[in-house]
Amino acid sequence: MKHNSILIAAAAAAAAVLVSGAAHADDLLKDRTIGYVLINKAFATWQSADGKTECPQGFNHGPREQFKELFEGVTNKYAETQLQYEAEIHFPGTGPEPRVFFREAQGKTALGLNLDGKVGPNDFTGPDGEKGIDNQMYRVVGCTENYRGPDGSARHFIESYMQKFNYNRWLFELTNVDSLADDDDVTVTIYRGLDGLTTDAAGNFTSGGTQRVDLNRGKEFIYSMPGKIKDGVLTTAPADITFPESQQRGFPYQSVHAWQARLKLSPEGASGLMAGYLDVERWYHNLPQQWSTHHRSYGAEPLPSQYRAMVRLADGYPDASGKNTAISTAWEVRFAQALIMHPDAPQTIAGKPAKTDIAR
Amino acid sequence: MRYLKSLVSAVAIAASIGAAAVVQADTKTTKQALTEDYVREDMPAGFQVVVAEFEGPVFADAKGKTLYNWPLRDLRNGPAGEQKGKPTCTDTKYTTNAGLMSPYPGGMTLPEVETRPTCVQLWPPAYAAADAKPVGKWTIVDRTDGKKQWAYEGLALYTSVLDKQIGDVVGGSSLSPRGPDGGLAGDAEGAMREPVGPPTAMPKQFRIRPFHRGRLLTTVEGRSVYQWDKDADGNSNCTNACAREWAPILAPDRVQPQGEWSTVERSPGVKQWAFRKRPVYTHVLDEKTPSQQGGDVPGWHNVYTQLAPNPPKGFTVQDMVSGQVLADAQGRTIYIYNCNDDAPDQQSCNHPAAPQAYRFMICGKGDWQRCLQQFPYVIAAKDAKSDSRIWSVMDIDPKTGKRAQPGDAGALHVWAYRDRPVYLCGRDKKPGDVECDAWGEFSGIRNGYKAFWLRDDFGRNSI
Repeated sequence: MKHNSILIAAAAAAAAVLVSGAAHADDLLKDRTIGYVLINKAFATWQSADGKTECPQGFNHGPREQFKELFEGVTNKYAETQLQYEAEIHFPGTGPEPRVFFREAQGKTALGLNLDGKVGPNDFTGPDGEKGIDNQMYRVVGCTENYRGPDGSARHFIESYMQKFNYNRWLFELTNVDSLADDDDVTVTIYRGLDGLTTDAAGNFTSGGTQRVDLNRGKEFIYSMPGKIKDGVLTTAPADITFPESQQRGFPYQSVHAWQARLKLSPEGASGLMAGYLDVERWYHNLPQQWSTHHRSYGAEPLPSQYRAMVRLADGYPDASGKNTAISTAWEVRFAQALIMHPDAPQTIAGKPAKTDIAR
Repeated sequence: MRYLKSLVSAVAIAASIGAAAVVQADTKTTKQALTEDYVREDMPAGFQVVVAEFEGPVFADAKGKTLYNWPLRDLRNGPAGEQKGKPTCTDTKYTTNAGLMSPYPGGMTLPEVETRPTCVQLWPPAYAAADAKPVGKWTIVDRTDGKKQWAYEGLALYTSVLDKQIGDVVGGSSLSPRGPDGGLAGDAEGAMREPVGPPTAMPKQFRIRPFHRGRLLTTVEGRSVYQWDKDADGNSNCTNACAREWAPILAPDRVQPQGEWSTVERSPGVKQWAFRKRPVYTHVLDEKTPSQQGGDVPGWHNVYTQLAPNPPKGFTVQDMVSGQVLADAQGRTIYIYNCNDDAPDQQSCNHPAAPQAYRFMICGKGDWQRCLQQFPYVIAAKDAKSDSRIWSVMDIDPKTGKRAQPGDAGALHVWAYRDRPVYLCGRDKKPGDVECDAWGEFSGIRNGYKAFWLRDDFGRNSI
């Protein structure tokens, strides 16, 4: 019944927004709160018109091509070829490339944020001239067709699953907001939502939808951090976060150190960049768990070579041995305004304690 | 807890009548309240129906060996399996792979090729006598070796050398690693053998979705079916607001009671289906079909025609970010290893008797010691015993991955599910972690590991 009440209230609230016509900031901020739901997310990959600026030698070969380069004429035993390649995917080495190549994105231009507040020798300059951009992940994925816009296969499917698979629903709630134009002290809370995205008749994502907060299985994805709004742009303080990212195979997540966002806000939505230091091991092992070698071949993504590049280019969070464990990364993101519905009281998982629950 | 108690009773009854519940075609017993009822069809002499503890009613030959078919599947680079009326499982010894698994080519020499059995050595055909006659859905098909073979609904029938006792369904399962209805990975797990059984005795408005908790009852549209503690036998107490959230599953006006299925009259002329005397509903707020979320509402329960046997004593269920997984006593997630090779006859490689090269490469890059670190076996206590046949303990030589004799030097005493060892994941650090789910080829369903999913509120890992 509680769900029914929430849904009815949510529907009424959504209807009120629609009836009133275009949403206004004052209406949406009357509780000094505004919510957003993620509708687009992709690695920030700066691309020249023909790709030759950042990838002068062309794009990377994928598993299909690498398999030939590694094994054709060498051996014809299944265990020493197919199984060996699959083993290499799951237990990649870090030495030199064995009879294959990997092409990193070249040049000094990239999208992203200055994560460390410095301008270093390996940093990029943004297309708008901003110095000190930290985005070494761009070098890793910039010349792999799977991740290039507008229609790289992995790029497309990661986003598509983010949109249609509620496991990945990402909510941003801004509270203590006095103005969407300028406010130097707001609170940003990230939740996982439970509901699908709302669309218009043409399938475009729309603002004004409702999202229930997942306080059950989504508790691990809740984070809160301070933020500032200046000239309509929200910037958040760095925070270590984990967010869900799954293509419905396995249920992984990404772990990002010093995660932060820079988003242009409006009553209808928000867009911009988020960035941070992506955990190398977590991200890499997500790859074959989400998508098979067959699927990685769609966009010529050579997983073991990609891992070697990540380890080589990692630029943050060294372990005890001094080896960097995370790599600076940026994503382009877009949100639609949403009415975020909080449950009346903390929910419990299945209403039963873990460990002893064998109930069917 | 109610279902746990029911399950305990079911196990006790099953144990009292032997490991498998053998049900004659023309008899009914009280235990049918706890096992799935089926349609009594005409069948040839020498065959029987056995109600297996997990798979439910399956056909078996005169010796009690479960019958399987091998349906045609479209794999990434072509089909494998059998068409109706055309058995292809022969005594051909394949030595190279078929190249059905993109992006890899065919023509590569298979592991342990010298000792690789033929298809019929693993899957003995259910031969028919020269004078055998078709009976109902049972027909006789011609084999390429000139012999006759029984078929059910057109697909040739086989037994499995892995099945040892009546009620064993070790050769294959209705529970595919890919998930129900192909899931998202299509038929990437390969062309699997499946047990064959009679239709479930139920109205056409319903269907069965097997998964690790049991044989879940759904509507034909796939919506989960629920029952309510506050209803009584033959009577629904769910009205008004309740009935708006819990939609009664209505029955046709002229329907008659059928076995375990009856009706309750909600109002004059309006009938609602009842299963085992209790009215059945769908939950209008279920977002996923089928779903276990309605069962979170106190007093409401998913309905099963037959529950799966309990896991070993001490095993636990752990909540995680998507659902629930089976875990050991320390809360560490349990994993199942899946493997099917790429030869034309699609032999399974997930059993200790099969070549271990596949598993060793995917769990440790060919290094058995690394495998023990990455995917350790679930060690069983020396005196551990299973209450069911689907769970067992066995001795394994970790250097070879093959069965060992009790007391062999270095042998491990481990838990097994469906006669195959189960594993932990070295990457899991806390209860609910599933770091190794979907590890391996084709997200762990072709040659790799999947978590032992009991519930998935978002995806298709369980139902």
